[in-house]
Amino acid sequence: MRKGFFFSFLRGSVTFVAEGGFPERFLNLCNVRGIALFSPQMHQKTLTATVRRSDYFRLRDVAKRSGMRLRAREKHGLPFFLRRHRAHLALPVAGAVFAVLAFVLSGFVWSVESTGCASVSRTEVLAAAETLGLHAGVWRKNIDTGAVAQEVMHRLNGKVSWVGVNLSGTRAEVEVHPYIDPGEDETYGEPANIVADFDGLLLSLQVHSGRAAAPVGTGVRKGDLLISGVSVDRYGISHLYEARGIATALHDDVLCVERAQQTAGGGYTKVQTVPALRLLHLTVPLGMFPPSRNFDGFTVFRQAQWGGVSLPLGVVLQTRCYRTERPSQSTFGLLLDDFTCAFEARYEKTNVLSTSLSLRQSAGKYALTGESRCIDYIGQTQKIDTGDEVPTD
Amino acid sequence: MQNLKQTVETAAQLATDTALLLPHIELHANCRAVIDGCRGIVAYDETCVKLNCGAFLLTLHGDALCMEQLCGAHISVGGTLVSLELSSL
Repeated sequence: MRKGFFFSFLRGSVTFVAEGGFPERFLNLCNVRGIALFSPQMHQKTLTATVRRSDYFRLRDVAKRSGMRLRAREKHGLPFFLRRHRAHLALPVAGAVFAVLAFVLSGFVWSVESTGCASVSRTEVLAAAETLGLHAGVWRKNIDTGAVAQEVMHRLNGKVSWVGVNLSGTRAEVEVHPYIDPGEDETYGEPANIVADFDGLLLSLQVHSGRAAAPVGTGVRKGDLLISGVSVDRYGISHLYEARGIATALHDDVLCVERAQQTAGGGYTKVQTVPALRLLHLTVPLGMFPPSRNFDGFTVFRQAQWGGVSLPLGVVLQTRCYRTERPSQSTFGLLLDDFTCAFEARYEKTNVLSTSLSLRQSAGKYALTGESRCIDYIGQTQKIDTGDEVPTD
Repeated sequence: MQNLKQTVETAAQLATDTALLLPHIELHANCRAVIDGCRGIVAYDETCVKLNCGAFLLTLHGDALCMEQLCGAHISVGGTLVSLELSSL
């Protein structure tokens, strides 16, 4: 039915009204000449039916022979639609361009993610993958996933036990499994729970041993139980063991760096934010200054998201610091140096989504505060007090 | 001619309607009549449809009758059928 409707739409059809004359003769002549009439209905000597667009012109002779007057009432289908909108040629052209663009763009990798490993830095994995040609903007068919996985595992030698590269649509996922010393793995430590290290929204929870105690997608407070190391069997006996797992959470974090005001010395004195638009691997400057690779400062990339899918475009904000010879303002430059180092050290294994900076000056001190929204590992081991310990006193 | 057809039908052991090219009439309760082997429409109205079936004239009486399909010798008439009448041409 749908297929028939589709082809009928492509061919186009005309609903007509025929009056006067001899409707029966009209129907017979149509039948003899092979003109297909769809749902012919007679109402008070008026015949209403639908024919294909190409057959409508053949009806004139039939109508003339049967003494009927033809009048087209409705026209349906693509040919009529295109004729009606021929003045707005840009519409179908834009539709065709959009379809072609979507088809071409779907052949590229839009985003590369790293999952599954807490012991190896996400930046390190992605940097290794990028040097092997797996980065946003690369043509999907040019990626040899097996070779990239082997090479990444080789580069992260000793840190990971297995690496896999999965291509899912326009998203590439580097799945990393950490190396676990067999000697350590086999022997479980003291009974322990995993609790939340800070307040946040629990995004994922992988339980390696123990029992999940917090549902994913809910907010947790610092100290809340995430993975329990206590299990009760069917006889009601409690068993204690070491809970293991990985939990990630979304949270807002504040990093504040202070420095006393100096009156002499060189350093950074001018800060400039250079925005740029990144489409796949192409970077387009949005201001007067083009983005560069070598500069003092730090870069934040805000990737556009739509419906939980990372789009192949985003805004790159490069915060650049410049040195001048005015010593009285050098404190701010040194403060930026400190902040950059602290930022990189603190968020080395963290996925920072956005950062906003604010600067305060009070009592001879500069304080640079960065408020970041980030996804971080939230789990912290907390030993279970079994009461077996002997007091030392 | 009729005798010749019947002779052929007997010899070929075919069904009578096949050899004599008689129409098939199929009724679906009182809501549809399917006629195969119709040679033309004699009258078409909301209450009455007359069809030339070669050997006889088929008249369908009813309410809100409409031609659902018209494809060569195959005709399907929908609506509320009240009576069916067969008469010689």
